[in-house]
Amino acid sequence: MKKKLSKIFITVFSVMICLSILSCSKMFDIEPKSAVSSEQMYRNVYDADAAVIGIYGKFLNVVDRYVILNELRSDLADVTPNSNQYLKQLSTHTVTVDNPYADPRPFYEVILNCNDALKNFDIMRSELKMTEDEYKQRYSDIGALRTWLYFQLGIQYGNIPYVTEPIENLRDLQNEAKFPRIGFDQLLNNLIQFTESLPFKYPYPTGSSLLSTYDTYYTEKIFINKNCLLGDLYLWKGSWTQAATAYREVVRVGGIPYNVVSPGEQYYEYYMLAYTANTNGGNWANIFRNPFGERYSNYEIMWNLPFDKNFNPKNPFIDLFSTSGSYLIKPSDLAINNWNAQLRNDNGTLPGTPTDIRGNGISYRMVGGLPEINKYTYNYSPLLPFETNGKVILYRGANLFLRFAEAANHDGRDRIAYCFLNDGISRNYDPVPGGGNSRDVTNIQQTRFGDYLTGPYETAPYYFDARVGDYPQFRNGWYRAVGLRSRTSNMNLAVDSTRSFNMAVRPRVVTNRVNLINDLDDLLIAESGLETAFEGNRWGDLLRIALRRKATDPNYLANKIGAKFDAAHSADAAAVRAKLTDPANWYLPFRWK
Amino acid sequence: MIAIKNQYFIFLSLFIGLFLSGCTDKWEDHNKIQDSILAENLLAQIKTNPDLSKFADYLNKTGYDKVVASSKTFTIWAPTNLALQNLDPAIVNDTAKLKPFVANHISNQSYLTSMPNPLLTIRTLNGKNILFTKTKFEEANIVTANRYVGNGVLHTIDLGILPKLNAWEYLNNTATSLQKTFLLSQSYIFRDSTRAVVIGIDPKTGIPILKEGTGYFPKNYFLQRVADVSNEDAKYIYVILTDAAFTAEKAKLSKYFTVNDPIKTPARNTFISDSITNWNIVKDLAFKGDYTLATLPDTLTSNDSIRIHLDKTAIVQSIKVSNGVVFIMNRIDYKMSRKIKPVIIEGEYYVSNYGNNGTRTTITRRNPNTNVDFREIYYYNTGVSSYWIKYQPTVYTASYKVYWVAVRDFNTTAVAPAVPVMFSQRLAFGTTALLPAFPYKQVDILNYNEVYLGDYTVTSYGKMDTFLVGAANTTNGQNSLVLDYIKMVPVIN
Repeated sequence: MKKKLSKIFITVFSVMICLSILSCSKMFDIEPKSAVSSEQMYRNVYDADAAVIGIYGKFLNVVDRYVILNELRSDLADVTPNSNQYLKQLSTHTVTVDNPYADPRPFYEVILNCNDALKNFDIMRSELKMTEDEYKQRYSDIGALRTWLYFQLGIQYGNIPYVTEPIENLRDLQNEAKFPRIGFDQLLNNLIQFTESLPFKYPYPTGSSLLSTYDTYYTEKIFINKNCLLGDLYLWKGSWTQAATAYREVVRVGGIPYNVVSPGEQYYEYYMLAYTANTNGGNWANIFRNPFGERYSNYEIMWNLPFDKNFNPKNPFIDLFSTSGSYLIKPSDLAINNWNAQLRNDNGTLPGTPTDIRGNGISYRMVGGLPEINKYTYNYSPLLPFETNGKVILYRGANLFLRFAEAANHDGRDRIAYCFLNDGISRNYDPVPGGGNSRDVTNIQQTRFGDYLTGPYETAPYYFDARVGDYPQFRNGWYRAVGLRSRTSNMNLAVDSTRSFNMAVRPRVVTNRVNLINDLDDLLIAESGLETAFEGNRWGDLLRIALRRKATDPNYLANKIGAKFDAAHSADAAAVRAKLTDPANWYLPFRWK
Repeated sequence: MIAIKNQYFIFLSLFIGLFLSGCTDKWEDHNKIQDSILAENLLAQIKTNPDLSKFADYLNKTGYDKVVASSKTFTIWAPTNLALQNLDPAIVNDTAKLKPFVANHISNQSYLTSMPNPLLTIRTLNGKNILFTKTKFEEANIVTANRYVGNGVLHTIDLGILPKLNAWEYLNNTATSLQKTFLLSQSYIFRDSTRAVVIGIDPKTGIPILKEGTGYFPKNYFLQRVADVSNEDAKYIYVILTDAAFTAEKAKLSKYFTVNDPIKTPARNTFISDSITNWNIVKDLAFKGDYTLATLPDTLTSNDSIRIHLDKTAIVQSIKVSNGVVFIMNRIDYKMSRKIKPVIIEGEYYVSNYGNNGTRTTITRRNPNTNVDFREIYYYNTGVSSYWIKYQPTVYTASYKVYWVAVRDFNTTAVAPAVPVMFSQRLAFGTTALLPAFPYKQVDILNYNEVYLGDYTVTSYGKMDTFLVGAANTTNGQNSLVLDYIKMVPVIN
């Protein structure tokens, strides 16, 4: 028996040895045919380009999450009877750990891809596989995208781990010992510092190998606009002048290609909220309706990404919003009431036709009695269910000017904020608006500080020249800029002057700057809701104001979100209000199962 | 070797064991009807119960025995012999009457007494709805419940339930009254070509040829336009006025519905007036809702949104019908000002205009005092003197106080020292001669209120041409027209 056992043992042992010896040769180590190995990646600038495009492709997968979190948690979007419990949790701010929408890992997946690419760009640069310029552009682009993702995570989760190195296991992120978390203020500082340190803050220059047509889509606007991001970071931080400077830089740089000898349409309209008929009035819908990269919508759009019916990821918004899809998210009753409460400017100085052009038919539409978010599905028809091309707009002129106005307002330029909110520089720095083009406008139609007729001229970033005249003919840069409400034919809105001005003297003197700033901020945030609803900005807008007013108006967020439930006559109103009075509940839990 | 033999033996015995146990069909056992009663159908079950012999007999007589023996599922609430012994022999001996009676106790589907929560409305085979609770079937008590057989459920009850008439059938079965006579005069025969028998196609026209005598259905304007009180699936309160009450109503209302059409003979005018008055009485006598005498609310709203008070002391008789309740009343109460309502003429709904001049827009505005949106018509730059827009409201024979709302919120500013150019307009009635008319009235700026224009007396009920007339001026800006609505408030004496 002993003999037998040892025999078996020897046989098994010898087979094992044979196998182990055989496996030393690269018998199973075949090079994959459909994927690139790490050694083959990052060999030249075209590999780097592929990495950049690849990361944006990956980024496209979190865009729906970005929209859902920002809209459903705030006041303009609501759940439908079709919504599952997890979406309802987002709406009522009762998110549980197993909620898949509140899982931050998809954001971190893209972040880790960014980290990996940034590290490899550094290696390529040291190995001279890219020129210095090529390195700067690509490094800054991916760096800015990562910053944007962290910024979003900060807005949604509050305290998060800020990881700039590649890591192996995403699960470890929950381990606070390994990855300590930092607060939102600290995060903002880090992000500003990092973004300011980026070596290149402009869009890819003409001639760059990344400006090309991939799958029929010209890439110019798929990359993040770094100055928009920087402006937002400074705005959240409360560095008003820096924010305004960054926003102004976006407009200046965007217009550079059009600084030609005889300025044309683009010179006066590109990124300038101008009165072009192509995006004004009812044609405001063109911003959302026109296909990706279309000329006139590009006057407005700074950053957008296409969804193509032939490529993954599929357009997620059709299923989310369309009544012919799952119809999981709809416009809230409050949002609809907000649009209905507006009056148009089609009756001179008197109130005109009720309801906002931007509401029914553009931002949302009624399908069989059900309100449906329309901004993403404008061209979708249930009769052609496979025509799912679309785009998602992540930054556009309206975002920029509303935020510029907010910064200007806090920086003592309430009049400039008023101009961009309502009907533009030209009309408001003119004692006789619309007084004709044959006047002497030397000292008017341009921004001045203090008294708008006699005060000192503004300096950057607040100087806007909107002068226009005939004989001799001249047109200065901002003469076509009209402001947001006038662009969509709405009446001007004004603050209640008695709250902040001494009404006994002329020119009016500000007696309560805090009231003025807060009142104008409220108007800007309300306008942002009317103009940019469902585009993924709302939670950020509300949270920013809530954080700013934490000491003076701690229930700001509770009241804003509570109003959504009031308008819907929902029984959840009181619970949501109570929940949001505690700032700890403003953020999603940074946990997952 | 012995070991092998042992193994072989074990295998063999297992095999035999399996073979033997396989001889019994386990599925057969599993599927077999254990309760022999489930193999029976309802008819057999009723026949075996000596206490239901009368009902079984009626089933046999009416042919429903074959129905309840079929493989569909039914519920039967069978009255016991004791319950049926007092049944009117007129019903028992007349199969035509017995049929609906029997069918009133049978429904499709199975209904157990555990299902009503607290009650179910169930349609029986005769098309009437009955109420079923845990213990009752209409007025009858359930004696034995939930006898489950192969094709349904059998309950026994202690009372035979006669099928009830619906409100319309009840009216048709009452003695002749003024109300009944008028309502029946509203009946007509309608031919529905889609339900008629097609016997061919006319080769010349391609139109189907319908078989004579098919596709004809009785209809009634009252049922179509006011309330379908013949509908079994709705609940109504239906009021039948006694002749005295009907005559009294007529005396009150006739003066508002007097037709004086000069091109008709006086007799014809009287006839039409009478008919319209009758219609205006009966149109407010049917109310939707499931009420009993005890739960009758203070005020009911008719289909024409007129609020009526049904006084309990005025109810002569209350009859439960299959689709609600019928009250025979000797009086109804309402405010005349609610019955003879103000006539509102919306500006944008005009029927014609003077001609194709100028610009017409319908503008939408928000009243800043009430925050309510309204629409008004705005006609300008016509270049025509006394330009008119025609409306055609239906008016009562009465005196009216006439108002308009005309909001002028355009051309409100003028470069100083000039003031805004004002314009006037007026109302005219009758013919395109634009007479008689109220005097011109200036349209004030931003006046959202009702402006009193004058009194006007209408002498004939019916459609009346009403004109909004511009200033007698061809200068544009001075002859504009604007109108939100005209309100004619009848003076009730």
